[in-house]
Amino acid sequence: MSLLISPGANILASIKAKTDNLPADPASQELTASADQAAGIKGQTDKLAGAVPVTGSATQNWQTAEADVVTIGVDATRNKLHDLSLNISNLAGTVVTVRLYKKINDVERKVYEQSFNATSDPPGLPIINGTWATHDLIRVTLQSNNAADNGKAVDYDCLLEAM
Amino acid sequence: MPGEFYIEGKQAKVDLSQIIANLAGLSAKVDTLQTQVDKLEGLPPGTDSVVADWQIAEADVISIGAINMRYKLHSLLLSIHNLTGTVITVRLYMRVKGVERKVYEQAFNAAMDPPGLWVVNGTVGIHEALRVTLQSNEVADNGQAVDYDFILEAM
Repeated sequence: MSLLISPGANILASIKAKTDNLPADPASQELTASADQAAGIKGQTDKLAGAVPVTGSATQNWQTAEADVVTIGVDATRNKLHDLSLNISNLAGTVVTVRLYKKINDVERKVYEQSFNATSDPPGLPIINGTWATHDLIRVTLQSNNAADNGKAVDYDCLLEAM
Repeated sequence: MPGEFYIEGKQAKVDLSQIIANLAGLSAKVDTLQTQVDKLEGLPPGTDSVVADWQIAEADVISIGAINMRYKLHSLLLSIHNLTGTVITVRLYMRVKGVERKVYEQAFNAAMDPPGLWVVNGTVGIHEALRVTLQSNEVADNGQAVDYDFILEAM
């Protein structure tokens, strides 16, 4: 498209006539659309790095009653749980029972139960040692058969990846 | 010269068509990339319940996935909280080389095992429908509801 203007013509009218025929900046539109998509893609791929690991400890009267260690995930949010380990090195019970609870069809159910012996099993328990997707909360509880375990700390460590 | 624009180097015409064409090509690739990346979010979870006469015969709970569609199944839970059978058998069936075969069978005791059964607790890739069935040895379980919950991710 030429911007050459004939001598003697109304310059402003000529410029307007020329610029009115310019395309509506398709290059800019394409770039804006691509930038928006790139931002969306980055938001999704950033999740692959995983969430900040959750590690802490819980102190409960483990022998008095089954008690919560930690609750993992968020209600109505999809996550992949790649690892959940517990540390029972402070406990002495010969029957230390770990249970997991999760909603199925909106009602929380016990979905896992396993007993360990703090005097003979390894202190670190790899409760979830693969990848398990959840779209809800996973509640982790522990119970011991030894009164000496009351008031002791149980450590936990888990790694989530948002979907 | 009065009355004329002077344009450096006589570049009176700037042709953007090649740039626009390249951007359009790039945009198409980004579309494809976004489609694939969006799948990482997973599909809306499948959760519901099904009622069948579980003792009369093995019956379907749910069929997951579809023929010739690639998915990652990240979790499958069943809830047998309404059942009382001492032998609750869960089976999975899937096509192997075009013919449906039983690929998993495990028996649980509703009186002893947790009500939630963690049937698939890892990730399994499927490209056929995965049929989940259940059977009970207890007549009282007929007409009872079994709940299920699963998460799929399209590949």
